[in-house]
Amino acid sequence: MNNSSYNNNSRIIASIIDIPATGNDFGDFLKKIKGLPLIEIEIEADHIASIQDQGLIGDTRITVVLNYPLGGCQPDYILDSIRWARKQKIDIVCCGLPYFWMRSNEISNIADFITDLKKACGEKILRLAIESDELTLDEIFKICDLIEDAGIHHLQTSCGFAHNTNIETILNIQKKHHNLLLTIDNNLHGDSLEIDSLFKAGVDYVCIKEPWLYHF
Amino acid sequence: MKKLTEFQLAQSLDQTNLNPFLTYDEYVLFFEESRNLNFSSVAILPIYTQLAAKILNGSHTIVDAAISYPLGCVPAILKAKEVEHAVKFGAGEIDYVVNIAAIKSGSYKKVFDEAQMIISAANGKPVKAIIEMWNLSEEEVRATCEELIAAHVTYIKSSTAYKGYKNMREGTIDDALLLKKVVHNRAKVKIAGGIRDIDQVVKLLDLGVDRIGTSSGVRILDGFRRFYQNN
Repeated sequence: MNNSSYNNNSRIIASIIDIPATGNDFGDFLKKIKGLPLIEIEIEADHIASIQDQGLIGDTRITVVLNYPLGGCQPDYILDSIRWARKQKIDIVCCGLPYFWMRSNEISNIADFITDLKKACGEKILRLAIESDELTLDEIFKICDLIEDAGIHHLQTSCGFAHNTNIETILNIQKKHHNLLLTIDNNLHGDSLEIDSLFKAGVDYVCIKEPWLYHF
Repeated sequence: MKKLTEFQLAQSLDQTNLNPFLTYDEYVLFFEESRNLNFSSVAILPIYTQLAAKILNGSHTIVDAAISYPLGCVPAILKAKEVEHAVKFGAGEIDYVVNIAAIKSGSYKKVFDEAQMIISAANGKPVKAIIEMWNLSEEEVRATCEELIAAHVTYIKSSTAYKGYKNMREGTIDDALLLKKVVHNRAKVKIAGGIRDIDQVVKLLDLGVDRIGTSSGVRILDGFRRFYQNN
């Protein structure tokens, strides 16, 4: 698997993050997504084993979220978590970026940390997650520069909890960083019109909560 | 209201700031203010632990690290690792989010095992287990508390109070009553979520709640001073 592209053509990611991962709903969710052409299923670390037990994955990638959605974990712990995740059967690590350094203008710390994250991920794809509506455009561009410099191709611009990405931000990122693959979680359930409008704006992948509602 | 000094009141409050978007300087101010007002702890995201521990060193306020916050659905081995890092960097208390998925699927042994691993990793520091009461039935609350008590957690806490959960409701007097009844003095009780004024705090303390998590500690102490000036 290379680090910049996926093997199937779907652009829909099933997000099972904020149920908040109730056991019963999780099983029900897996039944409902069976057979859907999903590019990824995004889960928390404790669900990796159970999702693999279901045997329904096919060519759908498994993404584990770490340091998510607040980006407030200790950096050493994040690296430990990624090393742990790498040993599991997952394809992608979606990792929240600590805002502390960005807000305190400690750019070299962020750059070093992104390099460490990339190294810890090894052959797994790394997608960095931010909350774009809490950052200035300059801050977003700085992050984009840093992740491109580190050879990372995936940026998630919102995590689907308290924050969304607006279309203007997508357009601005696309203009300046057109090689980045953008993923959005705007807490959408399956509204096809809304999701398609994000694709039209240039978003590459959209996380949704109820993908069986979308008109694939 | 029970006879209470301002210091005693402050020591019943975990002054909480889980905003990941503040600057270094803003966090320094928050820690200095919390130290000066003698809050029991500052409840914060683990990335700020080292800075907080440095500023709070020698004060009455300790660092309370929020572990696996807010989702809580990571393997116990990772949660324990996060606790170890937090303690190493100066956390004096641990607030960890219980694996709600395990509760919902009836895997109570997992809840017990997780608590034991966290307690062991905390190395003697008090451990508060957060159960999202708004998302649990009364039966699930009871069963979860029994596991946590058997594992010897120090506190059972009502909620993460994380605003990103669209269907979350804030901590209530009913939560406090239920938790006090179920726990029955076998562990301490912490209530969190939407507690913003002295009246709410007084009601909760009168019910025997041991600790209150709030981001409105400064306002609550102001209210306390006004109450005593007027009475």
